[in-house]
Amino acid sequence: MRSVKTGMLSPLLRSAVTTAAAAAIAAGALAGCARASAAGAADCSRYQYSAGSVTNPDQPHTGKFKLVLILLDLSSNAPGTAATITQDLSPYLQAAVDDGAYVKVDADGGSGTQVASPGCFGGSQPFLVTRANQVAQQKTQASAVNALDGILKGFIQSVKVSPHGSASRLLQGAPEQVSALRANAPYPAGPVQVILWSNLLGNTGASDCLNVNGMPGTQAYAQAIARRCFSEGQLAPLPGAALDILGVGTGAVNDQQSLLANDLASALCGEYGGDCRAFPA
Amino acid sequence: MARTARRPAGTRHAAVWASLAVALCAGCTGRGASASPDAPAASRQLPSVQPGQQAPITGFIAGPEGPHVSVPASYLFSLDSAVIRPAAVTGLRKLLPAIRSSSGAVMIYGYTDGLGTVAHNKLLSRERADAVAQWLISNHIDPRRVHPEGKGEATSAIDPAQRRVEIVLK
Repeated sequence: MRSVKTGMLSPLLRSAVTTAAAAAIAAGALAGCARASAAGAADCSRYQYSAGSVTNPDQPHTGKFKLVLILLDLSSNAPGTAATITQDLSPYLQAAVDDGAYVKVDADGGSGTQVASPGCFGGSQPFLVTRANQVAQQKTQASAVNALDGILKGFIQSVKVSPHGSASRLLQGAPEQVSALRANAPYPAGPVQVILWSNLLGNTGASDCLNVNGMPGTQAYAQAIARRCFSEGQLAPLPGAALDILGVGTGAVNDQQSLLANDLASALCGEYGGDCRAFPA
Repeated sequence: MARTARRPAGTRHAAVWASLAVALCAGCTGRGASASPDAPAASRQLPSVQPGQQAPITGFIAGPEGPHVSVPASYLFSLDSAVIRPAAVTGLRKLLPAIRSSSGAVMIYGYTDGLGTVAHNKLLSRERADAVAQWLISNHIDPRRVHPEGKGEATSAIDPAQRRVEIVLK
């Protein structure tokens, strides 16, 4: 049987064959990329709970899953900032995979950008890692946190950051986000933890209650800022939620910025009331 | 009208493969499903914050343990620091006459509020008390009289007014 050699094809047909082959190879490779991306999402499912999940008989899951809402007010998308943020959030992610929690992440790069969420952190399925034996469980829990850290780190560096911004947009949306998470939770949802990562050095405009540009760096002013946020209805309470404020004063270049950011964190905790903690950078 | 010369077949095929390579590189970023295209490295501008007016240090007033003065931590130290600010020295000097004219122990208590961890605040309050003690000793107050102590969190609440150093003359 005579084999068909492309050299024997007409130039037009030869070109068409080459192009078709190139397209087929590209489609295959890009499908591989899509599978890799989907595998990235599928990797998250390894760390998520479903009714049919393998459980550890020594550590059965009962009760409700915590609702964790992480708000990232990104004043920088530099690798160093991404590393700092993921380090600060790591204990919360560890608790999520160890004990079970829905985790939603919203990130705000500032004015003119949109609030974005990374894959795996939509909060629609709870994280929980349990395995039939303790050794496998601990190993998988550790790799889960590593994987989730990596996703967050890459995501932070991909967020467009504007020269102007503040934490107010994220905090304004928080009550609604919490309600939506609870309403859409496929498994019973329990206590709420809100984590705000922000340097609290907003620099938007006068209408934004968390703009501190041009403000005096005094405790009294910080308290007035926080009071205004609530009296004007720009911020609303988070009833029943624990609030942690991390990264306060990150990037500050002088004392007055640091002091104001920390005093503002204190004042916001005072206004939010309940279980509120703030941690300086 | 001049006609564009056709490229040799080999060159055309090379162009196809080159395009393929570019498409592969551009298409497979390995990012998550919700990620946006690469963003340029950027940081937010820092706001301009005016220095706050610091209240002057008051003198010693009578107290249950003896004359005492409470100095705001923000007057003496930068945030999270135990190094006395140069600007605070003027106010501290005003306390020296009363300390020198007394003969008993000089108790120095450092306090923080609930901002941060308990362990860190305990250490910071001790370091700050030590810093004031060292400053007094360097200004010829008998070291045997000086007793610094870190009290840690005066309250678990976040209340900047609690961040202070108290000096008590016993």
